Amino acid sequence: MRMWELFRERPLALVAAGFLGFVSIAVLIGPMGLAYDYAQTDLELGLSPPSWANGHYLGTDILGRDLLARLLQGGRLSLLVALVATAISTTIGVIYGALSGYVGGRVDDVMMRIVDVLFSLPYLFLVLVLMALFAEPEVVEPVIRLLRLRPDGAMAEWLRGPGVRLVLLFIALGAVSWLTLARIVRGQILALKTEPFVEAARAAGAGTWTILVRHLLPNASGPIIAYTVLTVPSVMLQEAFISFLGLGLQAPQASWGALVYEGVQAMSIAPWLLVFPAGIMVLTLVCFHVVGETLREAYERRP
Amino acid sequence: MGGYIFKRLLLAIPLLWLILTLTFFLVRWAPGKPFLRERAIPAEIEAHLDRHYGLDKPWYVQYANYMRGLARFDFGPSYRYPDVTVGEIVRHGLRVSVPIGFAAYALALGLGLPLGVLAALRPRSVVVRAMMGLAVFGVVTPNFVLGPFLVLFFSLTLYWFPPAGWGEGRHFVLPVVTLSAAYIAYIARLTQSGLQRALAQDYIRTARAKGLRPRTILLRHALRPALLPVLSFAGPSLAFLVAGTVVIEKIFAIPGLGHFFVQAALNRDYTLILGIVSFTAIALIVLNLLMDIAIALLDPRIALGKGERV
Repeated sequence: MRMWELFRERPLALVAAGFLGFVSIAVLIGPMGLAYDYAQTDLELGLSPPSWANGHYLGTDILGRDLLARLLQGGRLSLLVALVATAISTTIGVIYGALSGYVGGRVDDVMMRIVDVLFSLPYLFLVLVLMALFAEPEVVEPVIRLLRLRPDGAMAEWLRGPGVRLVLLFIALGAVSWLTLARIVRGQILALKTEPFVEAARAAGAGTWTILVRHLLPNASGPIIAYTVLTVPSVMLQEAFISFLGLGLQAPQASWGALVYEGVQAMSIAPWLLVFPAGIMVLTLVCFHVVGETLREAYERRP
Repeated sequence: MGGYIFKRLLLAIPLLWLILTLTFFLVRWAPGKPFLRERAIPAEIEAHLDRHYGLDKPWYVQYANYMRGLARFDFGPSYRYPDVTVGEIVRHGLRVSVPIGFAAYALALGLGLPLGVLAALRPRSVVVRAMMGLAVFGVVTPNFVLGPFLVLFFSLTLYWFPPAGWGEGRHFVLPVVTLSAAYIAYIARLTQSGLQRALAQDYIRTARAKGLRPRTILLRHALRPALLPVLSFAGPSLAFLVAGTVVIEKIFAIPGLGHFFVQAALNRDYTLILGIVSFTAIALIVLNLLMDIAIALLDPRIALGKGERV
């Protein structure tokens, strides 16, 4: 209810949220309504500019693949990676920050010092190393055995194909994006834990876990949600960065970052290959930002 | 102050060890072998190569060798570029990457700070508001999108600058602008909000009431606390800057450290990967240490453990 009023006061945020909804629906059901598959090549129609006549509304790439179909498929991958990695990083960040803030004292000092230090590491380099070296069958087969998957089942096949790189992206990006959230949550918990209602809960016999999960975290949900929304574009950006360098998903799977790179290579002869992927990606990033900032302002102004 | 610096140093050393060890094992545990390619090489030759590079030794010997080499700044031979050591490649890449990074950093501070100050002092001016609006865009537009569009416009349409390459002054402009754009925007916004907060403080009102000139108030009293968030951002921004050069060098075909790193990752050139990551980690940790000391000099509360880090 309050959320709705918040967005009604800010038309820009409403437009941004609407656009994100539109993009999500488009990438989910859009590919079904298209005449072309994202991997389908047509060498005679290579590099054809956007046209209504031949049905390639956004043109084709050098192999004659339909750009719109690739954009929608790429959006699926970009959003999927961004959302899953954000979910992982939010989980880590909330648990880490809550523990640090709640336990306090020495432990808090050390835990926050670690966060300070991690902030300044070249962790994107480590993610790149991980992506470059570990997307190999030698890694996949033991995992398939470990999870007791059927070796010829669909899941195992998926892991051997595009799955391994997706899973690596989830884990790697999720593991490096939780720092800011941990700081925020810690600050919130630190402020909340001296409130009378926490003491009341403790007096009533509630354990640490109950106090954290039932009393403290729900009261910190505003900032947690806001920063989670702000994490999505930053993870998306990192995934695009990795794919742009050619270390992300492999063709014909291509996220928006990889499409931008293909566009860069062809931009002097086929500018549409750069303009559309870059445009949709930047717009999506901006919209996530606007929505996230709106949520953040809303809780910061609350008395 | 001395105690504070000592404590930071004590923290930096185990951190350095941690990151170097982590990288070593990450690369060592990676599946596949350095000399494995599409065409198989005879087992005897592979064994010979392994022996030559010390890969037949147990892991702790390799680890000790690696650490001993690092201490002497010797990163060993490259597995893919014959006749060149990793140290030479790193040095070669640095000669290209460091000027770009420094120029971008200088540009970011040189434009971002004045813009932020202006925005805080004249919040109603149309020009300033237009610039700050642009800054929002600058923060979210990835450099690998900005770079190609600059090329499309300034190189392929106006023919002002070359689209790629390295060696002359003209090659310098577009990469540096691309790399610094986000930082200009970010620093301007940090300065603006910091200065606005500082100008609203009571001691500024006192200074005004005392009859100090506006310039003195701004430079002597308001700017110092306003710059703390900017300095705190400087540390993490270095790490992002390093990541940024990787992309910039790819877009503009510049033979810098980032270029070699991506090539090494794609080629599975283990010693080169290890060398570049180790070197970057060392450089970042040292620079961050210096940055922390600078912040503590500006804000003595931090060294006393009372300052709230922004």
